[in-house]
Amino acid sequence: MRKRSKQLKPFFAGLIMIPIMMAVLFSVLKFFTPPTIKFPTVLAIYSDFIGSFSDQSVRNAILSTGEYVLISSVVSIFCGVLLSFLLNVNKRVWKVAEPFIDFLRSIPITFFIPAFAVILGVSSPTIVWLLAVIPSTLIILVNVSYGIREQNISRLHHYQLLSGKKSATSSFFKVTVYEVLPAFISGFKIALSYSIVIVTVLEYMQMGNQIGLGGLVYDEMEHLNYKRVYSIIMMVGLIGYAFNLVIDKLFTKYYSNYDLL
Amino acid sequence: MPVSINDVAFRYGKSTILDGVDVKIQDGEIVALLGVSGSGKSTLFNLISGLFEPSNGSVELSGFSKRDISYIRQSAMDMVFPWKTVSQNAEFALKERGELNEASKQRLSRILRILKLDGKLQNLPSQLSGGELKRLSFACGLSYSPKLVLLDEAFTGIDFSLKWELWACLKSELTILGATAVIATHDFDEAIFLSDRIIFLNPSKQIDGCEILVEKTDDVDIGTSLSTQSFIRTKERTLKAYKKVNAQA
Repeated sequence: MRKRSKQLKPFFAGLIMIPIMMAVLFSVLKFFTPPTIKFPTVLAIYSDFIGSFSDQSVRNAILSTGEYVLISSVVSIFCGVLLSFLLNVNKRVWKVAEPFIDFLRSIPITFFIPAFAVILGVSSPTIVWLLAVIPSTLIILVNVSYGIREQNISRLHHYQLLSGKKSATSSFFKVTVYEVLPAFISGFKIALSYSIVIVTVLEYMQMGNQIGLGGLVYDEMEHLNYKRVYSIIMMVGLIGYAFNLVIDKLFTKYYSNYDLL
Repeated sequence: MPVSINDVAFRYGKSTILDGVDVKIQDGEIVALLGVSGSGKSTLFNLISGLFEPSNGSVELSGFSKRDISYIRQSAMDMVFPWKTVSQNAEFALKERGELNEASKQRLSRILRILKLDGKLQNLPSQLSGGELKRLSFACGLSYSPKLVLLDEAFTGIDFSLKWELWACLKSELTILGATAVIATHDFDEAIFLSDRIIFLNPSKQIDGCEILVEKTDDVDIGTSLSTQSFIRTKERTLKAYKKVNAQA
């Protein structure tokens, strides 16, 4: 019980830090913004943030952005993990693939919007999550590949001796998966942030057929409703935090013995 | 001969790691292998355990298979799975082999008790001290009653009290199991106290012709045993042989 409360204290302290740090940030922004822009007070942003949850359009926007982020995350995990295991079957295969992966990772994904818009259409919901999938997949691919290459070979040998089995499949499921897990999780967390950023930016650019949080930011800016703009920005952060929390909880539940965090 | 290494060579790329190694080890014998760093001791163990295939020659095991080999390394962290608790790590080999039964469980609890890990069963390796981690690596290595135990500088980097504890535990377990062991080490005391015979890997990557037969004493206490006349005599002979082997380079 004492151990649990020891873990909960920093958790709640961390939660409280979010509004405090955001309040500091908004205060600094207000201080440096010219008075003509009428940057809202911290209190106005926070009261709007709380009130906006009762707004149906905001709730729909949260669901829409959440849906795109979820789809892009699931697809990028599938593609990223699969590709990294395929490309790391052999060191040479990875060496051949790596330059193109690094090349592609350096290109801002927004540069592909014209091509995707022609192929899929601007109002297609697919364009939103698919564009988010590309960088997220590449990040997961690079991280998982690093995990595979850097896995402890002595431990793999130790497994083979302990179990008396030399099959690649059993070594993969009993050792490699666990060895790669920390690299995968750190990669996935970054990939998730990318997904959220790309999805909201594309929504802001009026792509897809739903009004997500990015779309709402655009609408409210058009109406100079800055307190709502910043309360929606906080909501985007909240979605990111919620997704990260779910990832942490899931992994500590299913791999509870792994000292991941 | 349970272990017969016949004219074994191992090459990695253009470099020769071992060249024409010949060793015969008898049933239940404990052999210490001395050699300078880089002389190929670990490679020889990898060949015996079947993790590497020799470029030339053969490693023959009789009376047991590669499944009955235990390989305890210097780095204890390489010998445990960080995502498993102490008890899960200790039981892992038995579970994987389908040998986890009441008898094996009892034997394992005895080993864990001797190694003072019985109070840490639910801890993760990251929650153990360096000494406890070392003890756990021994528990894992001895858990499945191996017939051949390979120890690759397994006692390096630990304090005297733990080292002596582990020596005593290993000696008694090897006696109970009737197992054969090969111990690679740089420590003469360890080689003399634990082994029946000391062999040398020379800088030419071969087993040198000279070997030392260890005079055994009946002393149970390690401290007393290390200061007996026969022990000191053996140590002098070992030192001379070690110098001679390495002077040949």
